[in-house]
Amino acid sequence: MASRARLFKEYKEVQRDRGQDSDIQLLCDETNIYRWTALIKGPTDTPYQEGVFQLAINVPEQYPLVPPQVRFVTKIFHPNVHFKTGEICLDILKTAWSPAWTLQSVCRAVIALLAHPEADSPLNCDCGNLLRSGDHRGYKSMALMYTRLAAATNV
Amino acid sequence: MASEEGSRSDSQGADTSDVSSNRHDEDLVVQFAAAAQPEMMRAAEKDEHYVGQVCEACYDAFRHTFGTRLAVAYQNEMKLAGRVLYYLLTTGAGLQTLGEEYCDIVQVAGVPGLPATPARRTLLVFYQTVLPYLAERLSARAASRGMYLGSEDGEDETSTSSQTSRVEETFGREETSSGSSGSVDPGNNMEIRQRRRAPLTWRLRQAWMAALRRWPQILPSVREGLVLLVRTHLMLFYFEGLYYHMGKRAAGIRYIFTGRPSQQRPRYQMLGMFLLIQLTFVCGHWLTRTVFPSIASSMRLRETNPSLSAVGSQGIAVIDEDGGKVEEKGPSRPSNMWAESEATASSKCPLCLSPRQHPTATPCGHVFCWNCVAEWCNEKPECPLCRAPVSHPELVCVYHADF
Repeated sequence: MASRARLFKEYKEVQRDRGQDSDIQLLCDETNIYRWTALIKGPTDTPYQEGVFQLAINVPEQYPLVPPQVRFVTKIFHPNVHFKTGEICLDILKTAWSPAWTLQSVCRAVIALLAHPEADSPLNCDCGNLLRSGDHRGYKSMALMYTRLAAATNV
Repeated sequence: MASEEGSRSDSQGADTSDVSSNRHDEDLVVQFAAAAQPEMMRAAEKDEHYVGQVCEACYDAFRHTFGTRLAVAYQNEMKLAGRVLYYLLTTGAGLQTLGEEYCDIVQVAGVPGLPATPARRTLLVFYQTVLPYLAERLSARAASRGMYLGSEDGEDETSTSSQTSRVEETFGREETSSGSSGSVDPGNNMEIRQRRRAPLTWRLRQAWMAALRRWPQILPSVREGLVLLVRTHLMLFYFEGLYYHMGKRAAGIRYIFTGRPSQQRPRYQMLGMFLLIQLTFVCGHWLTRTVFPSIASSMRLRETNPSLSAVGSQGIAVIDEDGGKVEEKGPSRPSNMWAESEATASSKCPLCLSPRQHPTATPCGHVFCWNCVAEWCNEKPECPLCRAPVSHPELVCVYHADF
């Protein structure tokens, strides 16, 4: 029940700060406060910058003692995101979780991950190999292509 | 009545008998003092207590005879039966209720101070017992029926309503010029013809259906209105001290006090004042919420007059800001809120995002609720904010610091 109270607080905060942070749009499921959807803008100066990516957030009952489960719904070409399932490899969503994180700050962390791909712990091996072999141009064009295909804002 | 008073005052102290004998000299019609508010309220409370007991007894008897399931199903009826039984056996039989007897008050009808007639008493019992039950039952039934109707014609409700409104429109036009409207729409024409055949019943039926359909929506406001009515009635009671129950007001039954007169008879005008203030506020709020916006919008419609429209638009903006509740504080509110959030941010726990309960500090100096940080330390012994290692014995509850 502590999770519900805290999620209500976060919901209120999100409602209050709506419009302040245009990069993150957090939406709560109408009927279930444990299910959220986030729309994040790709960070500038990255191949993702023209895209809007949808995240599905599943909050467990023990939240905030355990991290929320976040995955990409929108296809994305990124070394730390599984290309098929959308699973995200991010330490704060796994072992380095702290209850001081909120859904909002988790989204911010995901945006930061988009700007700083970590090729050494890839979930998308093709993407990771491109980066590790130094083919930044290949990585960028692939990521840009998928951003335009799947996450373009003007579609 | 007079003999009763005489015997009573004989049994009382000497001074009171003196008073009553003086009165006897003046005129033989003896007037009892009207009962004061405390006595009436005490009597009513006592009665409620006994009614509760009777209801419980009825329920138990019913349960033993017919089983628990039926008893639960007919719970409300059992309550009604208990009430009816209690009031029929006391008021109905022309006796004092237990509460009235306890407080030495007697029911009389109207100003002359005569005992209430059986018809009046029956009416009172009806008002006090059956009427609320019936009203509740009928409104519940109407609400369920209205909801059923609403779901039945869920999607085409708008169409039917628009249709009826169209029909009414054409009907209105028809009265002015009967020929032209008939040729507007053949479907409408049929309906109008039907209406001509039985206009009154059709109209009544239509109104009834519309009322049924709207009942679930207006039920909350009706309830609210009833609460206000009850409160107004209570306020009147505090001021004039005549009728504690609405049923008694409707039946015109008052109380007289037959006990030993005491010097201190507190009046409740003060409470009445408070209630009056509260009701005034509620009414004012209601007015600002419902009446003023409509006035403002109607003013805005009249855009021809610049000064009027300016007032109207101002009203609209003010009310739109926050549901019409905070009007005059409009511009100063955001800054207030900021200050508030700034002030509370320091005393908020970053884990539950609520004000801290039993503030607890870690060795690294971060402060949380005791429950929040202790639970997290079970999970992982580090500070949630700076990841410095923390163990349970190191947590310090800081009760004696004001921050």
